[in-house]
Amino acid sequence: MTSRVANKTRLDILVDRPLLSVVTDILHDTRVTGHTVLPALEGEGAHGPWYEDQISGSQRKVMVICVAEPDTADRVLTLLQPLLDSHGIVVMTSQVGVVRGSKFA
Amino acid sequence: METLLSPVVLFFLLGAMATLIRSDLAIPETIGKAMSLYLMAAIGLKGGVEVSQAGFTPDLVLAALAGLALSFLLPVPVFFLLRSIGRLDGTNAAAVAAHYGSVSVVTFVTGVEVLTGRGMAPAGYMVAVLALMETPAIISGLLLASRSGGQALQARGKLLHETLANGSVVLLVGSFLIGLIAGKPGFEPIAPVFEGAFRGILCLFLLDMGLIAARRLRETRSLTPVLMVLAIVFALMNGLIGVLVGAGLGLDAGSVAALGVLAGSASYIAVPAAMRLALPQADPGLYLGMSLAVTFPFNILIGIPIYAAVAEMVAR
Repeated sequence: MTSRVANKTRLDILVDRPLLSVVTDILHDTRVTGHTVLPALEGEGAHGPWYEDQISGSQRKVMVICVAEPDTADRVLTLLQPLLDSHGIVVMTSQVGVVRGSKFA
Repeated sequence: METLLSPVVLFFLLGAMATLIRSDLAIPETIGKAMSLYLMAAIGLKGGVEVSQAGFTPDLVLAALAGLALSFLLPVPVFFLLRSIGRLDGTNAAAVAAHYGSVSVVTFVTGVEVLTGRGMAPAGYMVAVLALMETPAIISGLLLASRSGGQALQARGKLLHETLANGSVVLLVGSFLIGLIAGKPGFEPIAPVFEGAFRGILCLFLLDMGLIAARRLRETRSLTPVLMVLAIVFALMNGLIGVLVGAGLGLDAGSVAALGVLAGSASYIAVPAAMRLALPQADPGLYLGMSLAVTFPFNILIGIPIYAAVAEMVAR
């Protein structure tokens, strides 16, 4: 069972919905094979509380989840680094085991 | 006082009060979004039907040109006041200024309701003016940002798409054209949905906007007292400029007041998303706080009656 699990890096990226394409462009550029976007309901950060905001849409946040090879994940982080402050992006990484490892470049 | 006692305004106040007393009253976001789409489709259709009956008049062309010019130029004085009195940096001042050149659809819809109640319904073509005023302010704001040494514009191609294909603009223009093509005979079968339910849904939407505006005002950390005052000054200044321009063009009193409402309103749908993309360094708490938490309630409660009263005095 264990031999079927491959070690990869998971990235969880919280970003404002209008800026989602900035993140997905980086994922495409670094040839991350796939990602999932989830809606975020509400939370609180350095600038105070935020909510799912479908009226203005400008502060509506989404979570981008992707799994990649550690080297690829590093390249994603390198490209995201200059944008973290200016674009208000939050990134978390974790080591995960995945089945069908060949699906996650 | 009559305006303040209309159900539309009272529902807005109910929403604001519910937030201030920390009630758990809430309207699901998806329903709020659906009501917003309904209102835009309804106002677009009705405007198109009215223009199909009245035809393309010189007043329509004049009002459209005035709307374009106002949307493009109003951000300029706003920008310099924000820089000098508000003490904002160039990027934030430009982002906020863009909001004050663009328009609020809900303020316009509420304004039309109030004006109609006063017997001064604006011309149907004002819906087209509304749609035209959504986007020039975005360009103006970005020019102000780049000229003031702000950050380089981000994602130009995406921004152009966001600006031209913005959902509210597409729906407003599209439903206006549908109304124009269908005319009164085509509109009659669908009137029960888009006309019969209009006021009730507007009341519910204003309830939602009251909740949202008061929550933003309560929780904003970016607004200073000076910026709050400026948010009211901008509404009055721009609104009165709109009224004077409309009167100068010789529009009817209702359309003059509507142009004042449009000029005095600030966007919180089309522009915030565009600014978030184009000027990500600008603080959304600032521009949404000013436009949504201060200017919008001010216009609903006080601004619209003022623009209407001044329009009655100065219009033909």
